[in-house]
Amino acid sequence: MLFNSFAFALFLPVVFLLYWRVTKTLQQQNILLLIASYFFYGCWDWRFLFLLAFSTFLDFFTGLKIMNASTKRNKQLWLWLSITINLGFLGFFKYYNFFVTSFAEAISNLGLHVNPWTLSVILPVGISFYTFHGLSYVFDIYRDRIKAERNFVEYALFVSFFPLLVAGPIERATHLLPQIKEPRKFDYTKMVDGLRQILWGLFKKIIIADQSAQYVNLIFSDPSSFSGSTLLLGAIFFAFQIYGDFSGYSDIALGTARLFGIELLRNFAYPYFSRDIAEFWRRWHISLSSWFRDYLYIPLGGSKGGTWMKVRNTFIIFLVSGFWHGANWTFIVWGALNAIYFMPLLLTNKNRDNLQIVAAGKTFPTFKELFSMLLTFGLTCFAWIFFRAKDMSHALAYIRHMFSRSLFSTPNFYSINDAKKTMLFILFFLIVEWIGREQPYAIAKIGGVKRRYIRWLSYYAIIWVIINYSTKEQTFIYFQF
Amino acid sequence: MKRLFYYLGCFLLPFVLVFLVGILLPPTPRAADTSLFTSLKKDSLLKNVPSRRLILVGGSNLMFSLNSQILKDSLHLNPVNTGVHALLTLQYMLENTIQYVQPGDVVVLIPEYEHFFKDYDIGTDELLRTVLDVNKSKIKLLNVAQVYHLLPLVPRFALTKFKPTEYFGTNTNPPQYRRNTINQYGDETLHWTLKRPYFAPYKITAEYNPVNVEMIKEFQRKVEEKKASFIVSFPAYQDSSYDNSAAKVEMVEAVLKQKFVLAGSAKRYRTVDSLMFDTPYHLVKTGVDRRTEMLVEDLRETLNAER
Repeated sequence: MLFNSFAFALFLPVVFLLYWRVTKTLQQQNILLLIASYFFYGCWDWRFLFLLAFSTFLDFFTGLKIMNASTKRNKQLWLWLSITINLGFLGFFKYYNFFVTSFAEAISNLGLHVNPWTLSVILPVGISFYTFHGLSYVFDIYRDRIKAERNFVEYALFVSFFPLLVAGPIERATHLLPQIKEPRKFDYTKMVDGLRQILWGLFKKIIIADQSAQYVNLIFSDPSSFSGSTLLLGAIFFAFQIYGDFSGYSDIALGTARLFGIELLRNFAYPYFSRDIAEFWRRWHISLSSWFRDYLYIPLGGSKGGTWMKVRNTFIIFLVSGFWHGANWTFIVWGALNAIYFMPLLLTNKNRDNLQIVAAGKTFPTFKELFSMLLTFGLTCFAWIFFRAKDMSHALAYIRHMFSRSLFSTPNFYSINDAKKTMLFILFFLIVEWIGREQPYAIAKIGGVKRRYIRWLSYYAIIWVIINYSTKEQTFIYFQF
Repeated sequence: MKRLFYYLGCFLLPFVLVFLVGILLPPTPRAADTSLFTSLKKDSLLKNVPSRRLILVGGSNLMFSLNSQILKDSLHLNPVNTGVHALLTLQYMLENTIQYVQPGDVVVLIPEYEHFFKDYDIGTDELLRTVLDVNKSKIKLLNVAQVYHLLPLVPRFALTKFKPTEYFGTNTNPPQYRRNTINQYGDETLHWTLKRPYFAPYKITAEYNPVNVEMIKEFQRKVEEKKASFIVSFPAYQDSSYDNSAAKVEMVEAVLKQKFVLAGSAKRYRTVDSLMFDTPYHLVKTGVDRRTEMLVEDLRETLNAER
């Protein structure tokens, strides 16, 4: 059940009504949300429900064991059991074929031939996300940051809450569990705010991402048949496709959760207005970046050691982050490229220079800020080529053809005129994002406009564009991760 | 909560009204001049063409790639080319056709290969426009799943009724996709004189969907119940598109071979790229004649064998 589907448009109001009108107690509300979440997840493939339930039970059980362990050694034992099983499942479903075929290729380079025993395993939707939910929970118990949860329903809801189940944000027990345990009251302003954020998320997904996707698919399908400038345009379209897709999903997730009185972690904060790569990574997929920071970078020593230690740890988190996205060398190279971009900032201690949003309180950026934003965007687009390519040879062919003499020609492909319309939408989108960049999401400010008819006309305009320019319902890119 | 529902109701009311008016308004001049409206004439042919008839059922592979005059002259049957658009779905095409089948008719089904893969049984804008704009009485031919999938498309359909470009300005719809370009049999003939535009070959990526095979079996039963004959054949398909999806095309052929009387084979109707017009199923004039002659041979052989 996709957020941009008719089925979800029926599902959400039904759950909303039952939640606020029928259930009387917090316990009933949580049970209803848990049932709704399992139904939502089961709509993809009911067989995956067993995996979700097992993963939930495992972390619930090991969490209690860690908390009640009498010795440090026992605590460690239970922690490792949880890590091994969680990562074992993730590894099997997501990485088994990758390791087997990579090993076979490496062996064949030595002149030996092996037939890799690959499996046609279906990747359960959201496994990377809920595995990380569970892991953060047991890590936090191990480090005495939180107590283990004793109410199974509440813990199960923390793992499976449907707005975040399949593509995040990757929540923390310290943030979400207290909200699940607290009684939630209906708040009109929050409800309207949630609906507004859902609307903006749908615009990002249906208009920016899905429209861009048509040209991305065409241009990436056969790089050799397009000019360098068209390939450059394809990479830029992909930058907006993935941003619109994932941040649109996150907006819908946050808005939906707000309808049930729950606030999720923010996942995006206008990343394409970043002035350097470090800022980009503080604004892109924030819940994953902060997860790696807290549970990998800091335990590895963070930036406390010498220069070598900082460089090593930075490379590790970027490579692991790349690998988290999928079992393909392209993701690893994407991660490595970002680490390389990051290095000059790290080595000159400039990685925390740009903590505030660009040109805060001003209408326009300075030339220096504009240049920095464009440079960062350019570097990001280049790295996205690896992210989008189906394998390394595809990515390299794309780059080779892009940096040819035809880079300076006018982009041309048979649907270029339709693409111009999409470019106009992207321009409009960037202007709205720029105006709203100091808000949690770009159109949050509309809520503050006093005259209702102005607010409503804005919403009508967005809905009109969504209805008029929607293409065939498309899945979200991050579901594959 | 009441406040939320009150304002939500007020907010959505104009949309509901606009959608209702949009559905009820007659087709716009632009919409009324599309090939979807050829189905009105084709229905009339199905109703009025005298026996013994050769009824050809399928998508645009028929409308754009047959010369029914050759069929008539060679087989001495009265052809009715019902093909309009593959996305009208087999379910709709078969339900519509069966209403008009008479004893002695020869019904030849030539579906596009995509019909046997996921999502092609559901329908999209073309089907919605057909049942809401072309002929509202045809809504009854849809099944529940189709209605469910078409419902989210209604708002966009309704809004087109309020677009100025639907009423004024130049019609940018390619001439071959307009209403009055079919001949007395239902073949689109205007493109026989037009220049070939560029198009990318297709690749079937969706999963196999057995639903339509079962549907065809049921259709065959109904056709035979009406004392008519039923034959399945293959569309002319562009070489490069065939190569892109060879395994899937051949799998479809194998499934059909097990269950139906076939005229010709998938390989036989593969067509060189240079004979294609604007999609992997639409042929230029030379291709149309070549394909029709092959179909004549195959039908003759199959009909003789049946006797």
